[in-house]
Amino acid sequence: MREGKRWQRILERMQPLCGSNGRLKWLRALYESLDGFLFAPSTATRSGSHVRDAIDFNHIFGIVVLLLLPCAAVAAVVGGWHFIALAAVCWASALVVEFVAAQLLHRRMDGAFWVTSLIVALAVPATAPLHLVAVAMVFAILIGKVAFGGSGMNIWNPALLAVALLTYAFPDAVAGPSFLHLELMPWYAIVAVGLGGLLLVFTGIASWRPVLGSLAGGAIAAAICLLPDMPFGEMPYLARLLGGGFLFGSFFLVSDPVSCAQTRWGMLVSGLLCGVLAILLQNVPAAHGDGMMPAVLLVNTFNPLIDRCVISLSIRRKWGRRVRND
Amino acid sequence: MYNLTQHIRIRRGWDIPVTGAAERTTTLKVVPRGQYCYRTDEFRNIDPRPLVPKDFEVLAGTPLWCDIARPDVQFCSPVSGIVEAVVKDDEGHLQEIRIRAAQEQSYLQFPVAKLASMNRNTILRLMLQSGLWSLLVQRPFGIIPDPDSLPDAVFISAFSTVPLAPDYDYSLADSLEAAQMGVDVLLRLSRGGVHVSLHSDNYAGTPFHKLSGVQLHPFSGPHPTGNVGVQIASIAPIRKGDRVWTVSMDSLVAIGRFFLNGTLDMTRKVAVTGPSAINPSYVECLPGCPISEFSTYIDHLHKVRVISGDMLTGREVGTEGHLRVFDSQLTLLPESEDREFLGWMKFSRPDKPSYSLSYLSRLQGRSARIATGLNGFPHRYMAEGLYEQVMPMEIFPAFLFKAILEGDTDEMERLGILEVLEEDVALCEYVCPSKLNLQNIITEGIRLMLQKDKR
Repeated sequence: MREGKRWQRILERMQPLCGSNGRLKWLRALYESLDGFLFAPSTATRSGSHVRDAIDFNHIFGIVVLLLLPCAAVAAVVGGWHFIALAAVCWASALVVEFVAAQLLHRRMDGAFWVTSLIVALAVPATAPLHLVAVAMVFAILIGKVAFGGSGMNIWNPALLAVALLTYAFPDAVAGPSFLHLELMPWYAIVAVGLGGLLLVFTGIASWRPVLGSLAGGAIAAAICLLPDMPFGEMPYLARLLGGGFLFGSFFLVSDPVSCAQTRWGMLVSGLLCGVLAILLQNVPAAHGDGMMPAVLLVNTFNPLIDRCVISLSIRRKWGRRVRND
Repeated sequence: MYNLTQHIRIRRGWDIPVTGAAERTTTLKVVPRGQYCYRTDEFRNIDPRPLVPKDFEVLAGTPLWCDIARPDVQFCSPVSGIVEAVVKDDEGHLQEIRIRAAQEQSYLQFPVAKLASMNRNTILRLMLQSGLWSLLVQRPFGIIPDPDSLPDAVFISAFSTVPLAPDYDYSLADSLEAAQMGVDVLLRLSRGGVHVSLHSDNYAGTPFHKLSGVQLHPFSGPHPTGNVGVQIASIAPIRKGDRVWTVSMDSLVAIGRFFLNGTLDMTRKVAVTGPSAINPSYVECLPGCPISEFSTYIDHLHKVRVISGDMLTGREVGTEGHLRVFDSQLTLLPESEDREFLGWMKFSRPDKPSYSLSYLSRLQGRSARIATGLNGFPHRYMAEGLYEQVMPMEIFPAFLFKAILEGDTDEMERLGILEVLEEDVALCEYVCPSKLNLQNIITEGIRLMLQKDKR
């Protein structure tokens, strides 16, 4: 509690400096974000419900970062200092863009960029040129998120946009294997992804529906690939499911609460589509070994349409079922 | 009209674990004294005109105001005394009427005959004259029904699942006769019968399973199962053109007493509940009763928020305020003032119940001394499928809210605005990590729909 008092004093001293007339007013967004990071709002509920859930987005993003840490640890062991530098560059460039956007648009930063930068660092080879990664990060946050109105409003997963830019614009620079693109992930990597992913679903921060859909879709598609004369290359069944970022994507990318479908059935359908496409695209040369990224981006685009169809069907079903005998 | 009587089990929803439920004893009978107050903003979509001047002597049953557009629809004083103030806002709209309660309560006697000997029109007149008509709630939109249009059906929820809900089995245990009379009256007014929902856990224990002439529906499940809107959605969802009434149990008993005795007697047992309540129990009083009567139940050492109604949908009235007409519960919550330091980093917050399993305290499910904190800064909407988990209706809450914010009335209708009132989305508002004011959005949506209907 003493620590809290000290931070409160520091923030109180910063407040006049970072206010609208202060000398450091160009740091306002940083001050407000720090304030929101450290303390819950002093305002109590004013209208509607008088009590509110303990959950907020600091907690949600905090949990996601925490559950990504086992993967990051494995990546750090595999990639060494290269991975640490890569993650730092991702984080720093995302922070700069977020800060500038928040300052100009009079907003408060949220924790989403922590998750985005960590996912990009995991998906890009540790040896990738750092300046290109920084450019991709800026592109992803600016075009993928800020342009839509901030996190919660975007259509595509920003992390995947960064990966897409790198994969398609600079294919040679990012040719090496990343944490996600190991041919067959070592057992400890699978454990790391599985542990984080299962806890993510268990806590309810990611819905189980898209995850289940994606895993089921992948299992089906990989079985189809086993049929003779299929143009999807020769690969053992489990290698398709346990390699190429499929497992990681099913847990952490398909279930992204913003770009995923919003209806209960829509989530399942969207997840299923992602899973099927991810496996089928894995061996397409243009995908560079990563089927999940193009699959999720493509399905993200159609998620609003999937939701509309689900709503229409469910409304029709509801009125068809209602029995009236007057 | 509706052919469904099987046990309806509702899975989606959540009971917030909170301390301070009322003991099943009545610890106080309030004798009217002091200032009683009746506010017009409890009734949706009326334009009230006062019918009594200042210093006018009213009896229990004297009309206080009527709706300008429908002068037959009036509200009558539940208490007798002298009008002390007729409060209007800057634009001249009636806000509230304050009455100094008389020492001895005297009642206006209405010419009530045996129910069977009265025709439907007489019953309707009596309902209007006694102001009991104002206590009927018509869905869609939760408005006072029109006297010239009778409902397709009447729905009554005989149990409540709101946090620290009052127990009607206790508070209305001796009012079965009045409840039966109330049901008989509504049966005469409704075309499609009266539907009463009971909690299946206590089906045989509740006195209301003895009600005759009604269709009983046993329900089970967490909050909001006790909300009549959720029950209607499970029995027969409201379509465009439908018109159903809902009546609270206290109003039903008031209607019954009126047709038994010919007087307006709105006495009820109010559950005094909440973490800040000392000796939470039942208090017998009239609506409009000043909160000062409840003074001994309030923990005066700490800052307390006094809410008329439950903690999810009630209105803050303060220690100077009054019990509202539709409420049979008073909730006392500790006001949260401190800014919690890094509270979100904790894995368990037993004092702040969360629906999310990312807090281990959810697994323990211990009752909490919940306070009024917002517990986080508002954020843009980002709650994939979360609302549906606590909203057991077949509607799409997130899409409905978006349609309301866009003002698209056709889309609102399609997505289910006809089926919901504020209370039905209250739990969505509780669990929302974006801290959005969803009940206000529904209020706005209903306002837009009513505006469109007028045009």
